[in-house]
Amino acid sequence: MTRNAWRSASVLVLVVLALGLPAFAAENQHGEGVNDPCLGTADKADLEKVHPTKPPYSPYAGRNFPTRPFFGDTHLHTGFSMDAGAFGARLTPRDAYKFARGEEITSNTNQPVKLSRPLDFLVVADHSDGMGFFPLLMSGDPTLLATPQGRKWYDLIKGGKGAEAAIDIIVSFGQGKLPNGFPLPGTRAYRSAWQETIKAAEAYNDPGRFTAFIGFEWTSNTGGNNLHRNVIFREDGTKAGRVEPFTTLKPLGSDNPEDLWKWMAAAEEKTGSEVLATAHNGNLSNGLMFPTIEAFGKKVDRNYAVTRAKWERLYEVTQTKGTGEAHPYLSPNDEFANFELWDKSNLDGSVAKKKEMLEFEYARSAFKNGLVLEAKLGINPYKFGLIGSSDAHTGLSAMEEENFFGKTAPQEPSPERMTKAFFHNPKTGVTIMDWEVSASGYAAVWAMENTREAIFDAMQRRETYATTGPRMFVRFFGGWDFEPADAHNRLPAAIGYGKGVPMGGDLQKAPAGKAPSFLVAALKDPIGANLDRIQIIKGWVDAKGEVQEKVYDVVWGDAGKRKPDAKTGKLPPVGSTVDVTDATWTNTIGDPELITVWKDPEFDPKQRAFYYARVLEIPTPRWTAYDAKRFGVKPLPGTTMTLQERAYTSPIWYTP
Amino acid sequence: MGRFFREPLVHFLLIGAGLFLLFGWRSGPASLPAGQTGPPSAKIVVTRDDIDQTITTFTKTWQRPPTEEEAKGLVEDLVRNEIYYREALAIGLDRDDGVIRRRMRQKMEFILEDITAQVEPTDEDLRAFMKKHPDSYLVDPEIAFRHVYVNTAKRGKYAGTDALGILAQLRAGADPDAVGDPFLLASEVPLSPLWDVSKQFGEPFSRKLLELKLNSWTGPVPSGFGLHLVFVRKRVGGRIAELKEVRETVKRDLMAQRQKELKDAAYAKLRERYVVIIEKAKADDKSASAVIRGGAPR
Repeated sequence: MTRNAWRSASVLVLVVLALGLPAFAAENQHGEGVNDPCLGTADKADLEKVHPTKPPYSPYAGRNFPTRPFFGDTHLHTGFSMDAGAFGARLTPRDAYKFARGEEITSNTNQPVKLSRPLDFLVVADHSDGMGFFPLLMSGDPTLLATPQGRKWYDLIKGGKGAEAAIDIIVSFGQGKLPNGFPLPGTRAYRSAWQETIKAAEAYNDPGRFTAFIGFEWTSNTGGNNLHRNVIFREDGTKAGRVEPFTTLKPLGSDNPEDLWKWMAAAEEKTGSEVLATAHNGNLSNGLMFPTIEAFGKKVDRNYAVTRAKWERLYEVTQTKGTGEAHPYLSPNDEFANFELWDKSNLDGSVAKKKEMLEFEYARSAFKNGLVLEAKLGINPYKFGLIGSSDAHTGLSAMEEENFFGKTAPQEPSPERMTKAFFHNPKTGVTIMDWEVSASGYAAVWAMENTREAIFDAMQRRETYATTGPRMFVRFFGGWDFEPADAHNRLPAAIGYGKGVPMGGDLQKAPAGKAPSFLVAALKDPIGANLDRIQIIKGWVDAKGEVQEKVYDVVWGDAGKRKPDAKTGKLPPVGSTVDVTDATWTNTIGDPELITVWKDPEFDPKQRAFYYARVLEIPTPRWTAYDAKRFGVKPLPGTTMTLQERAYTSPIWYTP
Repeated sequence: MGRFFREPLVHFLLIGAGLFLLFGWRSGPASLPAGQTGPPSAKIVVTRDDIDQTITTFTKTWQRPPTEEEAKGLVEDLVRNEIYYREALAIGLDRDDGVIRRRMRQKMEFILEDITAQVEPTDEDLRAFMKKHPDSYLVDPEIAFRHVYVNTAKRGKYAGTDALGILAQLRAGADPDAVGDPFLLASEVPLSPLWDVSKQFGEPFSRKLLELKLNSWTGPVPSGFGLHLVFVRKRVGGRIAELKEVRETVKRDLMAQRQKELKDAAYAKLRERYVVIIEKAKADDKSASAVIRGGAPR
């Protein structure tokens, strides 16, 4: 072997190692990606040898990084969830998996329904409290029916007032007023519901084509404040079946997330399966999702931070109950922060929202506060990646605007959903209308293959992004050496992984005189709308210890004729082709693909920071516009009829 | 005759008949529940087994054994359950209660479902089922191709002409990496099923690839992204799957159908034994009522 060939080969080995172990690259405290002293020798010529411009004979060669994202839903309820059942959901976990993998089925309201294309994975996450409650209630469990509440719900549902019963169940649950006879872990009804959930996932899991995860939702909802978590098992039913889900009702369960984490540790021990938890969109937690001082009467200390960071590496930033990325009150300079907000109250409308709660329930402010906590505690409890999911209670993960099957069974397509109230709390006066429900979202995961193990592992390394429904393709890499030419490379992913870390990763200790640079790219959904722009959102802690944020437009569509304003620097809107009456739009504006390299112009190597990308589509009709057209219903005044769908990547963090 | 006994329906009916015997359903129709058979006994025995089971359950959930106090509470709860249960029976809470009837029905249905699961289908059964539903077990065609992307948004009205120019270059032997526009999806797609190509490029595009000439540059083929010049390297036709490829799926579908058939058949059999009289709603003539004998399940 000649000296040169030997050198290329060793670089190849090193690059392959770095690429093959993104989690390692992201977590390694002593140097990541190009910072590695061994990799410092990888100049451009070497990289070209490693990734030759001519495709190798074997198309699989050189693919040691994920080449495509997998799209799925980590948060779907079926009729096994107590409230879903009361709302009229009759579909089972099996139906849910069948539908997600692309089959046509009949909805809860007897409508034929099919996805435009299959999803890649699904977690049926029924509420652990009262799992199997609905079958029990409807079968007339004597203990349950002997209670005034049980009897009342039963009669309401029988009398066709299921929605009223469901709301009452949710409120009673949140207020800790559940009747005797509620199915608890250990009872036959409970066990059979959990075993059936597992069996359904096992039956539909099809490695390489469709991943059916085993999971549940732990529904901490004390006082109506939503602190739900979805728990996902990495392994199969023989392992997951060794435990029954953790609940919140005392004495068997607890509503404190710290107890869930303890249960998770014990469950891993007992099952031999890794588990992870994703926190439910915190927008209905009334300031409790991201505590900075105390949680459940205990100080937020190092132990809390370590534990939370270990178990909760992903956060559900968008779903049917709104989007929780940013809030206009917290981000007054962000013109796109006002998107599908649910900011009137907590989950059951029992306590109205106060402005000071917002900081502790939106993702961007949690990222910022996480930096402050990291400086104080030595670890960042809020270093989470982003995903979207549906939280639909229908067994139908149908989140496309023109194919939206609602959040609950009564919200499946009908002329009424344009004008009906979803819920109303007479005490606080809080009302949420059906039209406010969002057709959102999905989780995108950069996994090596479509299997439980690969997707789970990618989730754990936070190589994920959230979308509000469309399946756009988004790449985001951070490093120290990206240069504008990298955006024109034919293999942006090879450059991205070769020179940096992917979304969810870490950058540490800036090399002297360098600022972080980012390679960011997005491709539209193959059957969706063009892209308006990609933004990078930076948050940091300044010299005074204050948190700051800034939104940068880094690349945009129609760039030939669309320039930032000379005075304000503001990029003009992309415009709109939406015809609301006809519920149509055209891809005559925006671009199908955007890619650029962006370098932080205001970088201070001594300050902690995070960066994430937000990709905006051009405006398209919202589901309400399709409904107005198809049902011929006039929308109520104030109904949102168009939207700019979007994707949010997991951040890349910088630590001095 | 041997064939008769292999018929799944016969299978089910036999199982069903066995069940009826098990539940004491003899030749005639069952009467309404007889009610409480005697005064409630004053004695309640909580067996060691009951206690062990309760404690195991607690331990399973909490990942630790209960404290003495908790164990006491658990046992007390067992007793409470039993007392309420007996008292409820004594005052007839189970009678004339629609929900309890439903529960009974559900239990029956559960048992029937469990029984179906016991009967393992043979390969012969599975093949026969596949034959009946050929469309459900198709293996997609597979395609391997190389493509060059032409960005219509960037090239605007020249995109079409540009694409034809690039096609000519490719046909003349141009390096595909040197022409066209950069693109985020793979430019070389290894042999992949059609559904997979559809997921990434959209269905109209992938369908079109089935018609293109092999081993030559063709196009432009439109997709949701723009135009593509395509070199189809290999194509494997779609076909009906072999049993070994889809065994689990077929089994799942067959079992689902058997469950349904068994439930329906068992119910139909039962219904034959009853004379069902359905009064007409709001009938002027009170005596006018429909009499249905041995009707089929609806």
